[in-house]
Amino acid sequence: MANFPSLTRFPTPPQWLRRGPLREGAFRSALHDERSAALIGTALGVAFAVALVTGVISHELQHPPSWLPLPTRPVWFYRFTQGLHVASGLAAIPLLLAKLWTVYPRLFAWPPLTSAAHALERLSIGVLVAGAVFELATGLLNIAQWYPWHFPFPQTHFWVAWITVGALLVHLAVKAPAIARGLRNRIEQTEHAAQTGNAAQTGHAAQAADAAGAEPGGVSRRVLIGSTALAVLAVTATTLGQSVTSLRFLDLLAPRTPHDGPQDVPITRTAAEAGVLRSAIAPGWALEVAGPRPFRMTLAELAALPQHRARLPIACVEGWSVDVDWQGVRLRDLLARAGVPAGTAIRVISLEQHGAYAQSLMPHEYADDRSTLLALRLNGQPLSIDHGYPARIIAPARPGVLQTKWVRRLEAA
Amino acid sequence: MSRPGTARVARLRFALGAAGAGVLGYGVYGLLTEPAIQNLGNVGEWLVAGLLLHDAVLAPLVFAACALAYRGLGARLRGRLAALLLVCGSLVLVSVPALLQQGRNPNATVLPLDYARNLAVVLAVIVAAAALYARLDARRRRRRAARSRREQERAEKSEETEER
Repeated sequence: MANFPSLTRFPTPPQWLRRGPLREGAFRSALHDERSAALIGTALGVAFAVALVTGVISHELQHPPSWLPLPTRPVWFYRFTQGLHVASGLAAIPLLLAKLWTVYPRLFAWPPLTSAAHALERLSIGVLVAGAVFELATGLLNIAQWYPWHFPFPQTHFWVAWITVGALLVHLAVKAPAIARGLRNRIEQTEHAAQTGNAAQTGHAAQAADAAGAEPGGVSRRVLIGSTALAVLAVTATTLGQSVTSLRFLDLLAPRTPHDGPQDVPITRTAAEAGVLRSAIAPGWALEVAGPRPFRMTLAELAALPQHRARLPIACVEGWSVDVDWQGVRLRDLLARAGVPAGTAIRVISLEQHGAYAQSLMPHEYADDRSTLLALRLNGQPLSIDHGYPARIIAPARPGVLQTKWVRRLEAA
Repeated sequence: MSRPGTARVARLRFALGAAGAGVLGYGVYGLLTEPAIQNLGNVGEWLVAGLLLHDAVLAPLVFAACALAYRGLGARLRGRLAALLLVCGSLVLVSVPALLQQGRNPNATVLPLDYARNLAVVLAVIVAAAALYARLDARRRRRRAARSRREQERAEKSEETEER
């Protein structure tokens, strides 16, 4: 325990307890060292940092604080950040496996606990590993819409992320000297390898550097780092096509493909799931717009208003996204007709009766935007019922769950 | 070490650790007070289960497999098998939800692919690529060995002529 005051020294347990993985030399590979841990740990840290930043962006867009100006350009902003969030989480899976492999022998350090400070440090590692596995596992299951637990995913994933990041910062503070040594000691280890005879065995100085630190005849560090990079590449290549349409030919393992769905667009929540199968096609449907001059409008009347086109992505929190040609009435036009002034936040109410997304709050940045539509058509055809028939909201740079479908009423929030 | 920067580094580390403890505390407070989370026990179960699943199940299996490979195989082959294990293992792990949940969601746009087939194809391509790499590598190694043998012979011959 570098530099940490030991609050109380704990006695070392009797030697006969030191069996199995606790034995000295139980883990033979020389790759369980500071350099492997520092290199893979850095990559994992970058992946977690990206996931944290993009995750916070997604959270803020869904629960915007009133002081934060929200971006409506570029229109692919959320498509990019959320695609990156899921991709960095998937990439972190092989990185976490490799990182935990390098440091696994530390789980069996002897003596197990030397002091209260050491016990606290080990506890923080436990929290870090539990949190990291939890975040990656729940995220992975969520993008497949599999919920074999009894807690709400968004809130739990959010709070455990802070716990994990906190434990990670504590870990970085405790391990700072070891990380610095691990990132800088390439040359020292090459010298070390030369002294211990690895260089003589391979004959080439360059190969000695690759095999640095590995015991004679062991797997080299180049193989460990290279195969970790290949694993990240393989996972990313076979899943990224769900967010990057040009890579869809490689989309073999992602839970979504960008064009699998009615009208070539995937669906997060179907009309059946939302319970609107009947109400969405009821002949009496008319849009209500509240305001100083409230009005109701049938679908035929809406279609007779000036129609606008917008090419905007639909980008789901689950990471998939696709560009879509939308057509419909400009939201601002409808609000102006009802006498709702620009700069007003809007509440969009769906035919959906229950559920977290039965209505959505639209901050004024989106309501005022010229490309925000009450869409009636998608890729040249009327909306299918699963895409929100008779009318849905589409606004630039917003999470898909807020692009409310089956709209019944618009009002000032 | 008593370089002038050491005290500053120690302060920075302490600040980082304190910030981490603060963030961790914020997360715990948020988790415990979040009204939407009614079954905190289940969150705890999942946290502990994830830790145990790695530390007590997955890792021991991997280390046992590596220990077995250590006995019978040379370093080069071991390295390649380890690389295959990590790459293919990661792909399998990432595909587990799709494999188990395929066809169960009434929403047909979720998990629309044949994941068992796709995973089999991806793994087969990777194993084939690894085998191809191994063959090319072996051939390159043989050529290099032959060349260095020839050079050595030539060097020995020229030494002999010099001695004469």
